[in-house]
Amino acid sequence: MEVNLDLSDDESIIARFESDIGVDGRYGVSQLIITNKRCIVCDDRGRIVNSIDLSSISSVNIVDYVGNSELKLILKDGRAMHLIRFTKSLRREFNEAANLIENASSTRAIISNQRGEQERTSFKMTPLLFVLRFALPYKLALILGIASGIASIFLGLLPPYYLRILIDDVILGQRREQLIVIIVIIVVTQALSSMLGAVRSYTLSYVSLKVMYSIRVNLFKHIMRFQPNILDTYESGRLISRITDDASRVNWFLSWGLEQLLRSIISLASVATMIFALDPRLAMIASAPLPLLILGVSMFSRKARWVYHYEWRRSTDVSALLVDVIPGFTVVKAYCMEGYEEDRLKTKLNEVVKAGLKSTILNLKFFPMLGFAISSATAIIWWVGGLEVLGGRITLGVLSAFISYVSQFYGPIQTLISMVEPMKRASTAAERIQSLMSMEPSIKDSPKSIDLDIRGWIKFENVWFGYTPYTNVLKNINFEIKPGEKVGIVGPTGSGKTTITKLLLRFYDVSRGRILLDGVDIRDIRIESLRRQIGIVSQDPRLFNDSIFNNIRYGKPDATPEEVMAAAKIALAHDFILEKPLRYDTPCGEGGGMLSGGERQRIAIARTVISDPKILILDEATSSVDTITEDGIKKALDNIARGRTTIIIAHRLSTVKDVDKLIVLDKGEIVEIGTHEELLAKNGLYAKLWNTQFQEKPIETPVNP
Amino acid sequence: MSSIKDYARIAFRIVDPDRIEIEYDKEKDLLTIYIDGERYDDVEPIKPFPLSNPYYVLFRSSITHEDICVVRDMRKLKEDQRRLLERILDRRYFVPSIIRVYDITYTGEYYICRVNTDKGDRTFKIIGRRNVYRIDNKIVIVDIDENIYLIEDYEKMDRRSKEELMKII
Repeated sequence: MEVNLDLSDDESIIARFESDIGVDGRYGVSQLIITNKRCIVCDDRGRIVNSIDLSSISSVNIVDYVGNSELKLILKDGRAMHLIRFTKSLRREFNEAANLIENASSTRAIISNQRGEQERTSFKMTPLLFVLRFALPYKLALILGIASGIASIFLGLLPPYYLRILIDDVILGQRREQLIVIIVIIVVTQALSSMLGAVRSYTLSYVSLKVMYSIRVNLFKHIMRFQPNILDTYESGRLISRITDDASRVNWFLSWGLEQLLRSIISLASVATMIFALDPRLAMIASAPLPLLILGVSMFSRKARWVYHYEWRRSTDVSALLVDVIPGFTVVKAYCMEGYEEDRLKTKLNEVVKAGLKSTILNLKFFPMLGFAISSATAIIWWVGGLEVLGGRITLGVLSAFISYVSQFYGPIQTLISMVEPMKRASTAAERIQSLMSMEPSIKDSPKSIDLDIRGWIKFENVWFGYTPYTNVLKNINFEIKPGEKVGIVGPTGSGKTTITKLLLRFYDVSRGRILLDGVDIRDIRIESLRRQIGIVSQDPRLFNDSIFNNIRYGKPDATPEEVMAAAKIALAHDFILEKPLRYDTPCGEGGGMLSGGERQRIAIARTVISDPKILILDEATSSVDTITEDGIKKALDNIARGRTTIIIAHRLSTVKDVDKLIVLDKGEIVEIGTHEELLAKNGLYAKLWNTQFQEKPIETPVNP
Repeated sequence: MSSIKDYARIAFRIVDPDRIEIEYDKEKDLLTIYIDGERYDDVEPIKPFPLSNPYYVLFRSSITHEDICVVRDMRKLKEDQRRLLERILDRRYFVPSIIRVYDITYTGEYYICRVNTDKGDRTFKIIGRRNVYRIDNKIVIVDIDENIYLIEDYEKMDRRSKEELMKII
């Protein structure tokens, strides 16, 4: 689209954004051009329909409607201007545009909105070749394994050859003295073949296990490079499945599939050569079922794919039901729903039975046909071959050797057929691994990131954020916390309190605006440096399946035993830990499941305390402990929080009423800031929340009879 | 801002094994300890890390629950003091070390373990892996009656024992 912008000498274009809705409000084209001086909107013919000086803009918003959104400007004179419309498909791009307009005078790089982690779906390298890359460090072992396998094939060709000599030359030729020689040769050949088979099995197993190890470690390391927002794209179960199931399927390919594939092809080629060399006419008969087999295989694999997938999905339905119901056992019992759950399971299991029968029927349609074709061909070979022997055209030894080779000829064909489905599965698994490995984290350190010794001065400047591009969870957040200050963030559920802490920890990047720590944008601080100095105790702490000692020391891996006990003491955990038989060596169980909620919480607090954070975030930290314990922990936290910047997120307002400053959030916006007394006097949302929680009940007057 | 290091120094006084004197109060089954001549009565010796750091001892008042001091390695105490403390702690911490595993059989409900420990032969039952924990190289087994057994180093066990243990670890 040609646009004549008539730019002044000192004006240059920063960016162009093309909308999919025209200026007439129909699907079409319109364009937003941002220069260092203006925002310009053009129609589909490049005609300027709107031009606004950046200096006249007060704020930029994206307003979401049904099926479309618009970029709306608030001008300094208070007027609103609807700049450009676009469908939701372009929401991300125009979010960047809004960013850009807002920061147009700044030189800061534009941070795109949370795009989530995008998987690549096309690759230069095929997936199986990609996983073979992991085998490169073990290439010698891999070559040895495959070579042993191939050598054992050639050795396997010898016994039928010697069988012919044994029958024709030794037995029928009455050469008694050669009998032992031939027998020894056959035994040695078999022994060598077995030895090579063992070498093959060991080396390939070694390579595949090592490769599976590398894939798992690399996948884990790769996943650890991401921020928690990766879980917005992948559920944790899917990530676990890639490390476990997909790696196992790839293991199958390396330990068995690859070698079997090569082995079967080579075996097929060499046996075919041998049978054609022995008797081309019989070889043609042996090859007769091949077209039928190829046709059958292609038909079978087409059908089998869906039938196997169907069967697999029915099995996973059962697992999913059990994973859902067994942990919810108490609920099932409490509601007396045993019968209901049994019926649900029966239904699912019946589907498994039906699906299993379906695949059995499919197999029965195919494999007996295959077996019959092979047996028929063998019978014809016996018939034709028998006539040849009787007619004296070939010897009995040749026929015996031929029959022996034919069994070796059909073996690889059957192997190749049976490999179709697992090869497909391995390839899909490799593709999934490849796509995950090729993904890059959206939040990472930049080359200019610095290590910062944080003092604890926090500033949120015009911060906007949404987990999805369409919904802003935080809107234009502005506040400042001075070093050592204790600040409470309160507000109704869903008002964005916890999101603020996630942004501070840079689990997500802001959509617009910036967060400063000691005057430095947190995007310019090394992520590790940032997080090591911020301690968080969340409302649902996660402990690891390890001892209490190791769980506390997680916050400071080089902590001394005294530091561990001191942290536990501050968190009021020391006494209850010493009451346990194994004290600090007590295992916490999976997710801390062997401890009570309050115990878990106090250990989590100890874990945070030991890390000596410069900024302490307590996100409903005492929500799962009783009020007496809460009071104790509060005193302990007061002690450790002294001199540290502390952010307390709380529902129970009594826990934050003594803080230096309260920030009241509602629907993602700051509605009030002040001290407890100031906010009560203001009689706004905070006062309303306070009164709801602590409203005095009217004193009941006893009624005299 | 007081760091955790500073707080630990105040909360848990580390005492040089040479500077502590221990007396046993048989009637109360508690200790009286002297640190540089300062006397503390009704003191209970506790192993806060009985498996991972078994020679670390915390001395605690049984009345006020105040942590009086710690001795990082009780083996460095004077001979008579060490023996006295060992005798008292041995009673409080009965965690036999498994030396050999004769066999482990599965009944469908329990694993029955026949073992030889430093305290003699023993047969006990466990339900499964839930009763077996690993702490560094150590393996801790808690039987169905909550008795505790320790394998100091799995790698140093004899071959037969390791094969048997493979059924439960």
